[in-house]
Amino acid sequence: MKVVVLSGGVGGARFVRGLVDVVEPRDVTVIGNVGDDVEVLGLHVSPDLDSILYALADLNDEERGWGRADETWRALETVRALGGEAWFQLGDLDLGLHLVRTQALRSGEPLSAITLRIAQALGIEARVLPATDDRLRTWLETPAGEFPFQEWFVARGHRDDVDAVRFEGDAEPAPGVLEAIDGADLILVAPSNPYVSIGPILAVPMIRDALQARRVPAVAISPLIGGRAVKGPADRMLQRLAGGTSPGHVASNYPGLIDALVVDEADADDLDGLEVRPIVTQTLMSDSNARRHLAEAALGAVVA
Amino acid sequence: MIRIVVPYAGARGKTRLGDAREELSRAMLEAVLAAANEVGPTWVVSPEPVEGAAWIPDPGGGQGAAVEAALREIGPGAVLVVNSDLPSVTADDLRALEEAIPERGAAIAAARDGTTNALGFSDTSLFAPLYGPGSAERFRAHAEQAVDVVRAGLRDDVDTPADLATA
Repeated sequence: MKVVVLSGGVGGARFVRGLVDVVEPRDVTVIGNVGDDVEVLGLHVSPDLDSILYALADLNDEERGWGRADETWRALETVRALGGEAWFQLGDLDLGLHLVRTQALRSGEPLSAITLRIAQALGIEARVLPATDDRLRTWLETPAGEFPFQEWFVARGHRDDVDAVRFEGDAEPAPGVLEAIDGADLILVAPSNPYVSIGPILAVPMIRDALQARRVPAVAISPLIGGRAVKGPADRMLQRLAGGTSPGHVASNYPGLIDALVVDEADADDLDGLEVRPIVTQTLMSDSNARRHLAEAALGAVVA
Repeated sequence: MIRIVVPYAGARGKTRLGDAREELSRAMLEAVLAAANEVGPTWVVSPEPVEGAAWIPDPGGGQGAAVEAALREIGPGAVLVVNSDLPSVTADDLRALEEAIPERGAAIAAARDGTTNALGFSDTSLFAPLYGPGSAERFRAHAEQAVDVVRAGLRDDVDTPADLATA
């Protein structure tokens, strides 16, 4: 069974790691968000792609949720001591990847090509693709002004309420993205923030059109448990932008794009207004068993 | 307290299990009844009385007919219908199924093969005898509101000797 999964960073990466335990990894294509990409110290950083790569290569830091396990921060200490740009947490191990990617991009290699090359070097069998090779950036409109994603998320600690999300750039799908969607037996939307993780992927018009025209089932996994985000600002954003944090509010971000929504048992009594089929299970990905279980739940509903 | 009906065909209901099936199917039933009795009043609908639950005679005609007979007997109201071949089912699994019951429709716990292991209804009138291959999809289609419930204890049933390895 060929599976395409749209994914953001931490939660999505965890989910994808569970998915390749229950589906043949070669049959999985991950389409990653690049709206959070940022230039730091002259380096091109793709935080969500990196979370996915590190999770699939079992190099990720489980506790922190992002970056690499056994990370050290000596380069960043030097940057700080020299008065350099130190607001973004770049670990020593992590830096190596950014150096390789940045050099490839400067020499004209597309993001998708260098991502595939890095994945291969890390021994990853699933295909990891950026949604686009073009420049696509997420901007947040807040009462305190408009900020690019990382400035809002990291530098300001996502403390500002969000009035609107805007995407900058005219992006086309990266090579392989439309083909993967076209050849999929199942499309999954990982438990990621609908606005700033999945939203930028859907902001690529040809990707959204391809999903709308799908002939196979599409299942999203809600990132909320009991109406609360496990991590990050998804619940606050849903409250302000969709008017609530129920499964129905989550699904309202994917109109015509999904056929079912996996929700946590804690949300099972809050299914009013949900217009797609609910799949109720335990969604907290606390360990590898729980991750596998969640992937199976998302798959099981369509595999009869 | 939700009411629970467990259809039990007896040892002959497990023809695919081969020898020792009587002992095995009885042991699985006991596990299901132990969980069910923690959650609510429980009936077994079967050809012969069994220990551990109130008995409703199986009129014959398959699992659908047996469940219909049992639901007639216990009368209107919410109910769980739980198969007897779920050796690792827990009281929490059954409570989760109950929690997921929609106002007008069914909570459905499908087996890995697309058959149905357990159902929850807000009223007995919402049941229809749709068991058999691919039944989970039929129960979904039949219900005005259908909620899938996925839990290991409700998914891993035992139909063949190989199933026992994972149970």
